[in-house]
Amino acid sequence: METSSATDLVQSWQAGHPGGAAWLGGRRAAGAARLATLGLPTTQLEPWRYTSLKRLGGVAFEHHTEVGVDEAALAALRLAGAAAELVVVNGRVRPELSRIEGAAGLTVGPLAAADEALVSLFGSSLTAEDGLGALHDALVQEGWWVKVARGAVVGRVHLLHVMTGAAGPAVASPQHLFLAEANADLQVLETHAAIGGADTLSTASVEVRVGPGARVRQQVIVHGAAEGRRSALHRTAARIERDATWHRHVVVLGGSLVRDDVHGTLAGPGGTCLLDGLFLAGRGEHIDTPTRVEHAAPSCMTRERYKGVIGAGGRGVFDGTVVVHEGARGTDAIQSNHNLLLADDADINTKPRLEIYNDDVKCAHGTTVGQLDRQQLAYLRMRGIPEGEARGMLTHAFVTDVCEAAPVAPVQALVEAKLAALLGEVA
Amino acid sequence: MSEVLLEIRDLRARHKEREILKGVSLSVRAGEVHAIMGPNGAGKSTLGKVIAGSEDYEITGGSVLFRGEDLLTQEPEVRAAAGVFLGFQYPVEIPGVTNSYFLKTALNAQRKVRGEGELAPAAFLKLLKEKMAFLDMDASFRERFVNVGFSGGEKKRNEILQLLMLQPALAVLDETDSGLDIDALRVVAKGVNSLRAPDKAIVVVTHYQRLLDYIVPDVVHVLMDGRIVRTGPKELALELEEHGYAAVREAVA
Repeated sequence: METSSATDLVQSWQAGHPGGAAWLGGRRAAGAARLATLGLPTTQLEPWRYTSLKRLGGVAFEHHTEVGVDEAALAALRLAGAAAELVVVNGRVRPELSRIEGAAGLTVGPLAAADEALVSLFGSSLTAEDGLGALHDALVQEGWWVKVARGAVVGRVHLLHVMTGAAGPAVASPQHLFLAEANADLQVLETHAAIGGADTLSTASVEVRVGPGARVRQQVIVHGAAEGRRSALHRTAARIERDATWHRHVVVLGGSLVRDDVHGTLAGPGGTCLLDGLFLAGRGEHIDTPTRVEHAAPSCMTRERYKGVIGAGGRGVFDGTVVVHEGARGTDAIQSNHNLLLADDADINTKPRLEIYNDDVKCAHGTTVGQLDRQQLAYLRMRGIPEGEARGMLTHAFVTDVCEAAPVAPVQALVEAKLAALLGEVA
Repeated sequence: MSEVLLEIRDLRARHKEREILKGVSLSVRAGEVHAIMGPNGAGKSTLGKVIAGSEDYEITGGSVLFRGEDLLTQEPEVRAAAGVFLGFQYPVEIPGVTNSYFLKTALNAQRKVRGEGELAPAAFLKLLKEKMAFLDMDASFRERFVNVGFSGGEKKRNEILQLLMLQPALAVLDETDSGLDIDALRVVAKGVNSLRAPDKAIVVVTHYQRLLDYIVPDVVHVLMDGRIVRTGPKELALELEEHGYAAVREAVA
């Protein structure tokens, strides 16, 4: 996508949707102005070095918000027993498809019904300094907010995010807010799926606020698409207060262009940031998972573990940074990125980084890129396990730890199906 | 005379540019236990790996027949299903794969090739529990990842567990005694001896005579510099222990 076509998209969107809250209009105008200055990011910019928006192609995306959705496909994505299931289709909040069972201390609602205090939080931690953030702001639509009151423990909330190209190439830019007040506990599953039809592009953004002593376990599943090119350029930003814990677990199962940009800020002492990621890229798929964790307070901990499995003709990018700011004494950060390449034309770029502006810290990072271990393969075969089966076993074994760490909903079956497809391609 | 299980003729193999086996000939009959002894670097481990189908070696000459069939052209998994087992000197760690799952997959894969059908989960578990109890292995080893975090002795015991679960016709055990204390050695020997049967053969590869006090061989071979230089009864092991390999080397020079 060229900047000019992005600008056209913004103009037609803003002309057609002048309404909404005043603050929303303001944000859109500011986004459009920034986009005009910055343009869309190109590979000349370091954070975009390995991911080109040219992959979006010359498709003329439009906003198809008044669109039907395949009930059966939607049903397959639902989460049984959720305290609330909040549905968004092509960027539009769909209360009639959503279910809110409710739980003590849980309040949810659409962005349009948010009070001023909530509004001020939407997107406030997001670093929208690049052109993509500007585009998102310029196109910003609706979204859901989820709030857990002080000390309340809430089971599972499901944010079900669906794109459909049924009415033509579709673009959507929703934004959401998860807010856990002091000592609250929230489990949330975020599903991003694309159901049928033409190409889709979503630029969802999610703001997470983890109050003092609170815990938020946020699990994200990004599905690929069976038909149409699927692009998802998502951003999540979390602010983790004193003694709070944020665990984000993401599995990216495919997509022609996926960028899952995560930014965590440890804002108070004693905070914990746990980031797990698994990306599985097959032929024609490009998955980029940039992460940035800022240690802005002393005695905080980060554990980051990302794994990539790249099949024939697939590409993965890991660009992870941990920043230890001045004064963040006693920081304890471990970052790892391990990648398994299933074919000679599988490609990965990995760039783990520690930026430390302080001593008295314990930081480590490690990264590996490799194919299946020959010795392990030989051992399994010498015990009678055929080569194809042995390769499958070792590939599953590689992702086991990340799969088992999924905090809200099991992912094994989804991951196994994708791995079977990747392994089938190289068999 | 019983059936010849393993027939090796003038086997030559190399690793990269280095020739390691320089014409090994050996014949093992069903019901027999053979010991292959020799100094470090003689080619003992290579011989075991070549029989099991390691891709690390290039075969440059000779043949290996198992029950009259050419083994060298077969994939390692085919050899395993036919009844060939190599107990590793350094068992491989496999993070993410539990011992139980590994054994079940291996056993069922072999059974499938032999047309025996899969073992039911309950029957498998019963068998596994029985063999683990026999080898004094804690039940926790079932669900631990294969060899990950195992001590040297635990890894060797785990090799013997695989041996007993898979019940191969020919077991080649590479330095199964190295790094074992006397108690572990007794357990390992008990496991190996339980496999002795008129239709099975065992080849024990070892550097030391000690193991042969517990697994008593019918035939002892001395492998030196890629060739078998002496073959004799079990007393040959004692002679080696007493006089060392240097004496053999001088005698055959």
